Amino acid sequence: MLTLKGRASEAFSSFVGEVTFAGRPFYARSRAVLVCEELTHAAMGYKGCITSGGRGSWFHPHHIYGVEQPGLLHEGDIVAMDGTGTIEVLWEEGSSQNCLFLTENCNCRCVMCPQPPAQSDPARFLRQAEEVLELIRGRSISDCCITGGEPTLAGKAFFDILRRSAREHPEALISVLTNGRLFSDRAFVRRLAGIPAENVLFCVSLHSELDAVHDAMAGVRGSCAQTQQGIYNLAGYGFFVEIRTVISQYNCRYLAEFAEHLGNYFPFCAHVAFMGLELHGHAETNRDRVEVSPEAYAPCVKDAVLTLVRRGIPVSLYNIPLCLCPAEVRGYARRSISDWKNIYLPRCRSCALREECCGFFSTSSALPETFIKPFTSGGHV
Amino acid sequence: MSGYTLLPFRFRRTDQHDVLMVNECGDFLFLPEQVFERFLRHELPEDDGHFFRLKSHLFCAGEDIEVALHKTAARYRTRKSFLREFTSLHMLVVTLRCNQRCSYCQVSCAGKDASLYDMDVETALKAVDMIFQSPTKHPKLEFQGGEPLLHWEVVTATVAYAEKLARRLEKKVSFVLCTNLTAATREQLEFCREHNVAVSTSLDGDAAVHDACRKDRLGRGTYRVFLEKLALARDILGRDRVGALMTTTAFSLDHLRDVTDEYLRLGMDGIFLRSLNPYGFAAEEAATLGYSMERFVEKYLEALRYIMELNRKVFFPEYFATLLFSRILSPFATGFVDLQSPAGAGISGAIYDFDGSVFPSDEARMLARMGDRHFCLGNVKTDDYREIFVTRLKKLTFVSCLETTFPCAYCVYQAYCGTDPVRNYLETGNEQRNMTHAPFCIKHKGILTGLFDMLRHADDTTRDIIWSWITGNAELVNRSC
Repeated sequence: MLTLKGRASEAFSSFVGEVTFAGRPFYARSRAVLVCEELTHAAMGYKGCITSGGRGSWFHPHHIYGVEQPGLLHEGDIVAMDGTGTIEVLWEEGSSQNCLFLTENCNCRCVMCPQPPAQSDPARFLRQAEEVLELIRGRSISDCCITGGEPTLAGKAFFDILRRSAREHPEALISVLTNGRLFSDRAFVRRLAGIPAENVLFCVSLHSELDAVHDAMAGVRGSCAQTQQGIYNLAGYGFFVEIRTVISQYNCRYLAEFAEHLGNYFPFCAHVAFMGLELHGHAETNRDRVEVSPEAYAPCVKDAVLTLVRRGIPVSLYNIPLCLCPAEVRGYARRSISDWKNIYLPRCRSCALREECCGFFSTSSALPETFIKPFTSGGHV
Repeated sequence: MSGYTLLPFRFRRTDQHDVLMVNECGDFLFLPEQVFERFLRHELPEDDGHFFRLKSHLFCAGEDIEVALHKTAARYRTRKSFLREFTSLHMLVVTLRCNQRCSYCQVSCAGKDASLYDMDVETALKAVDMIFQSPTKHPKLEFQGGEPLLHWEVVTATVAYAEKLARRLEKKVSFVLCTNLTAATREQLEFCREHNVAVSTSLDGDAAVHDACRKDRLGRGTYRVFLEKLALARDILGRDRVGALMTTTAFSLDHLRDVTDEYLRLGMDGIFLRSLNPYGFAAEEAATLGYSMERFVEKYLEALRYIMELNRKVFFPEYFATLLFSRILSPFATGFVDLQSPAGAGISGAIYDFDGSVFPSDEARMLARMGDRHFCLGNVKTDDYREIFVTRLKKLTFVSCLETTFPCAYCVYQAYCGTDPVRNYLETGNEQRNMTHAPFCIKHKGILTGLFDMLRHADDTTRDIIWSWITGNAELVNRSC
């Protein structure tokens, strides 16, 4: 999530507002946050202000000043600001990568988790998500992703937020990033009744069909069976299901058989995504247990992707730079890394395919530099 | 002893010292013999690579047995889904008259002027009423004969009435005209174009092979006039709306390559290498036209390997292999009548004779034509839908399940195979029989064994070709070089 820093005008508790550069008439300021160079009388009546300039006066609304790059914000963005001087962009207007973040908790302990779960008070996230939904109501959006942590842990709030997003934004694709475990419970999955299925996609993490492999990656015994049962239950309720698989040392060798298994037993899945690691959080800590060299994963990924392509199941490769993809499956690699943490190496500047390449996570602690070779317009240099 | 549970499967030891295993829902793998023995004795370590494969293909389960059974059940249900949406194919014999007299004709067609073998319009419309009572949302009507072009007013009346019913009942109806094309007029073909009627015709091979069996009533070859009409039909309907089928006889058995080349030369989309059916005239002339099933299997597989090679350059499926591969490799149901259990007779297809009699399959009708009406389910003019498709058909279905037929119940290919009670009856006087030496079994066992050999040795391109056939996606094969 894009975060800006500055200094807070005073200690105030966190609030959410809608960014405006242009300014609003006085009666329409109560939910808006004005971004300006200097705080003047024009800043009166807003919910808050953000400025690159100095601190305002006592009669100005709560504000954060001395912010370095307020230009990163857009008209219509939704931000949360608090008394520590932090501005979090909860919704970036015009972006297709917007998320509603419901909780930092998780019921898996994945060895390669880039954002390890935290025991935090979920109330703040839920309130923010509700406020974002309130503010984007009536806007036409393309995508909205409900995520966490494990969003289903929010229980009733999860269903409420999902129902609301799907109903209020029939024009958008609402995706839910989940490990699917809770959906193995029939009573739980029944609570999806009444939520429109046409524009909801459940993106379920399943790293292997073999419980020994998946459970070792997810850190919970029995989670493999629960996740798969969950997928069947979701599909049974008519929802689209995408399967997301992180490529690691644990499952790499078995990816082709896994793909065949998906074709045989999950032929209904709408999309399969194989994802490269983000060496951050637990993945960084457990690097020697999870990381696979591009040389080792290339043939496995190739076989797995082709197995699905032959069966007509849509497939994508996420987080794998083009020069690390086997040529046969390069066409399935996507630009998958969120803009705010997307970087390239200096040598990538000369690459002919840079525009189509996902690049790297700025958050990764190490990059497979020796394998990175820029493309000339024909092939490798 | 390890803690895994075996899931139901069938197996066959091969000559290559491994074992072909197929589970209850049609997933398969090859396993080395020693590993197989250890697996059965529960001695295979659970971190063994073979164990992972066995588990992935659902031959065993551990703590995850519940979800493993759920998956098996889901795939099993999907494969049997043809039972839910029955009856999809309805064949109408609009006349028994024909302008040709092919030597293998299964129907023993009647002379060109024998109008007592025509279906009258009233009967045809009654048949359509019955067809639309089937649960399926996508009924397909196929006009057969004899030669349906000779009794055209029934075809046009049926199409019009079926279109009207389809609109009223919100079903999607499609039409196929099975014709030798030689009597086709421009007006008839234009009608087909206007009403979206696909044409399915017959082509046995090049001039010599085609003319050897496909003759007019004076015994002259029909190849030349067929080609003219084929061009006309393609011109009017478009190439993709005109398909052709071949029948293998003793004349073509040794020349299946040439037959394939002829199909390619004429720009056909693919080829269906069909064996001869022992009915009608074919039964009478078995000595000159026939061959043993063992020889057909051998020649078929030879031709199939040739077609596989061709496919490295051009997309050209062999449809019988396509069907079997899709039963082996995909979890989905296939509509083909011959390869179903319970048998597809009456469930995947039904046929309405010119006098309104309803039969579960074309073969049953041919049998009736040969004098035995054992399989007649009723008549559209006197019986109602329930009587025909519930009460009487059920009796036939009871005796046509491989799962309860010896020795099919134990056959490794059971999941891919089917049964034909009509043919069993013709050969033995009984709907159920020990299939061991039946031509049906020799054919399917032989061909399936050949296909599994191909799968075992398949390289990436072969896999691409096989899947391009199953999915119809020609793009899967890289043919740039």
